[in-house]
Amino acid sequence: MQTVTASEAQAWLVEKLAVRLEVEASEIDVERYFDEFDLDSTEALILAGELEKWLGFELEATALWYHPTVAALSEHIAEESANHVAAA
Amino acid sequence: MSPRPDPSTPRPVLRTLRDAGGGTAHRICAVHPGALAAGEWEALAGQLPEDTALHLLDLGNIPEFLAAALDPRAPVVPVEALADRCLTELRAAGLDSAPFSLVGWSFGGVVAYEIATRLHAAGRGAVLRDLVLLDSIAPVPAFKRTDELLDASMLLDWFAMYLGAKRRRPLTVSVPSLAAPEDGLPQVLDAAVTQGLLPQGTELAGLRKLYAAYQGGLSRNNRCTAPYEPGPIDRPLTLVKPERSLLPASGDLGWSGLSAHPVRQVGVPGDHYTMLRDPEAVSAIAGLLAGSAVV
Repeated sequence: MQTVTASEAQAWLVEKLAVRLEVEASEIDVERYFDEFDLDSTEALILAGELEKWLGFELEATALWYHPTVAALSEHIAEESANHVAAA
Repeated sequence: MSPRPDPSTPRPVLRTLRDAGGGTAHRICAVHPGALAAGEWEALAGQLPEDTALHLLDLGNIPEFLAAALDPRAPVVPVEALADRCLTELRAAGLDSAPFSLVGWSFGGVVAYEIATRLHAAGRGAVLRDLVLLDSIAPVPAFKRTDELLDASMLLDWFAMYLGAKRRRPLTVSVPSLAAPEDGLPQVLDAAVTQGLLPQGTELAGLRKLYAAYQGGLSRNNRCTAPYEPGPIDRPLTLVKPERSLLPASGDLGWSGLSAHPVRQVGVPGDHYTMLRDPEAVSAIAGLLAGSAVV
């Protein structure tokens, strides 16, 4: 398993959100709260499942609460990824 | 950035969806099971007469009940504890002193039944005008199911119904005989993408996550119901059953085992998850609840 950096995680999230919301990637504000995007709970869960598959590990259920923006979640993912690689 | 609520702040279990103000003649208390958003009751609230108030008890906002859906190792919340919590909320708001009708949707009906049982046991059964169950499965031995005993194809069919409700578009999927519900998720994904419920490119891993959340809630409800062994109640019960009930071929869903009175059964269009959205069903349920609450 390779470490995922915060910028890689951010790029993945921005691209997925842009496709889901049918906008350009440049229009995704990484400091905006997830629940302010036009994304319902079904889409959020599906996105979380796809993200976990890409990462190769599960995020805790509270991750989006405590890291509620693309930028914050990306930083958290990078930390978690480093922990997983170190533990492997 | 707009202010964000603190996730550790408890959300209100009881809230008023329709306030009839000083002219309240009829009061309805509804127990919401939490699988879909509490907003599902708004269409019904809009159909009630001017003088009828609707209060919602949202089980999804009871933290330990929510936690039990997210984590299968979390302790089960007894049905009795959920009913106690609802009664405490009603009492604190002064809503249990005047007569009201009680309605519960799905697992919310099981909790509503226990609320009614408690009111009867306390000699306060008269405060309850009516008890209405919306496609709730009775907590009787013949209808209790552990996760292992739930038929895989049936579970997947329920999930397809749920996904259709979440995406506000019916989903038609033919589910073959399966060893495990997860085995049928590729077919559900294909059908959901083809029929426009999910965008092209949605990955199976995403749908698996959604299914896991759905199954977690269902399993939590089954674990809560398993140890619950209520006695019968001496009052009539009304069961509203949609065309696509969870168990369409199972008559009164076991409720005749809990009341010596005949179970009044009312059929409505829609399915288990859309029965509070289908206009005809909403109109029938509103009429039933408003009528039941006539002083």
